[in-house]
Amino acid sequence: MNTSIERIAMHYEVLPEIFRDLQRDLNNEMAGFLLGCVFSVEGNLWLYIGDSCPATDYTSTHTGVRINPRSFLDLDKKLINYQRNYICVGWYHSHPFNSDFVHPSSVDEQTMLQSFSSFYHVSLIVDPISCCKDIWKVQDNTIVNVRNMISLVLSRNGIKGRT
Amino acid sequence: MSTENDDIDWEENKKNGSIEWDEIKDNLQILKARKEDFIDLGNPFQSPKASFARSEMKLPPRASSSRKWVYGCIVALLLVSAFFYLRNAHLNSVIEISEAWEVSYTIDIDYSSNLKPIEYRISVNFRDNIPNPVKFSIDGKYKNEIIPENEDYKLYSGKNLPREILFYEDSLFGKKVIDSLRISQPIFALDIQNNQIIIKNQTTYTFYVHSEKNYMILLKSGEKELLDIVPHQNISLSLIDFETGCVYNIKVWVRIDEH
Repeated sequence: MNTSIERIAMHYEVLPEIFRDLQRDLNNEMAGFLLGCVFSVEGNLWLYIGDSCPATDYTSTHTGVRINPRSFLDLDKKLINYQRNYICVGWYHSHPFNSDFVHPSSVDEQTMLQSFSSFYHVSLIVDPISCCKDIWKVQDNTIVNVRNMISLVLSRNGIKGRT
Repeated sequence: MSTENDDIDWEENKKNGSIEWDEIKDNLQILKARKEDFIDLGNPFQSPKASFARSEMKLPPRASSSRKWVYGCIVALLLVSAFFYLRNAHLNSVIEISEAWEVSYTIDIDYSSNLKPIEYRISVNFRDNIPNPVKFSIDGKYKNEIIPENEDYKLYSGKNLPREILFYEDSLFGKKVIDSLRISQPIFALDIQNNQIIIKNQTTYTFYVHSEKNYMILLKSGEKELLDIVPHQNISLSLIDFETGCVYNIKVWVRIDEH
């Protein structure tokens, strides 16, 4: 079976929540996880991002963030709340540079390749000051931009999103 | 927060729609859905800057004022019931209070260069909502120390890892156990070969390995991970045991003779 994602559907409340989370600190980078699942829609795979989970324990500077282990416990708790119908489908972090574009750093790229390289993983980078945002995924060991594949959605008929 | 039709049965969906996927070892299940199950609100990533105005996201119109009244009454009723429920829970049940705590356990382990544990240190952090002073016992030995709130409090340091730590609070009927930490030992094995440290998951469940260079490695039961090391450097890594909620911080003092 083809394991490439055709479309990324993000619940419309997730992106504003991520912005609100990342705007709590405009001096340092912040990060968190994306939660969701994979659907087969008419034979194609769609990635559904239904919620986010801010990292509660992290070490950060203006140009870097490191998620510390305790944050995984919070992530796990949240996945349990969803009765494990959701999995971690990626991560997000901020680049608070007030720039007109966002781009992954070499460390970000390394993180994507090492930790978020499954076919259902995406990496979202947001500038919480300028409100720029962009999204990438790993495909055939290279990082590709997938902003054209994403859309905000309202879900219904069996797509239980959030609690 | 909720979406439309929140009462949908996931299990039913899985029965009818899940696709077996042999290649995927995780719990990932592929569920079936139709295009109509998603109402497209547009792609905000196409424009350079975010905009979350309701009108720009093509959201459906808001509820009418009469519906708002109905929703308002329902919310008010829910709030009143929640108030009485929480009030009763607070009065009647110690266990329910303790479940509201956020607690985290950390075990620091220092290894020597030949991978023998030198020292174990155990600390705890009770975050918020502690109703009464919390004390503890280690392997049955009661300590008359009060654990402060919101602080990484060191419970133990020594050469052996205790098996069980119980946490108590004083009540009218004596000491009540309110939390416990049972330490599974060892949950992992370390080995050094050819300038690599091998970490092996000896449990039946998955844990995360978090190291300086490669962080967030998912290690399933029986799996190994090889981490490159540099002689005469320290290695720091963390394991997260989801069974106990423990974070193991491991520090290895690597000294390999170079010939």
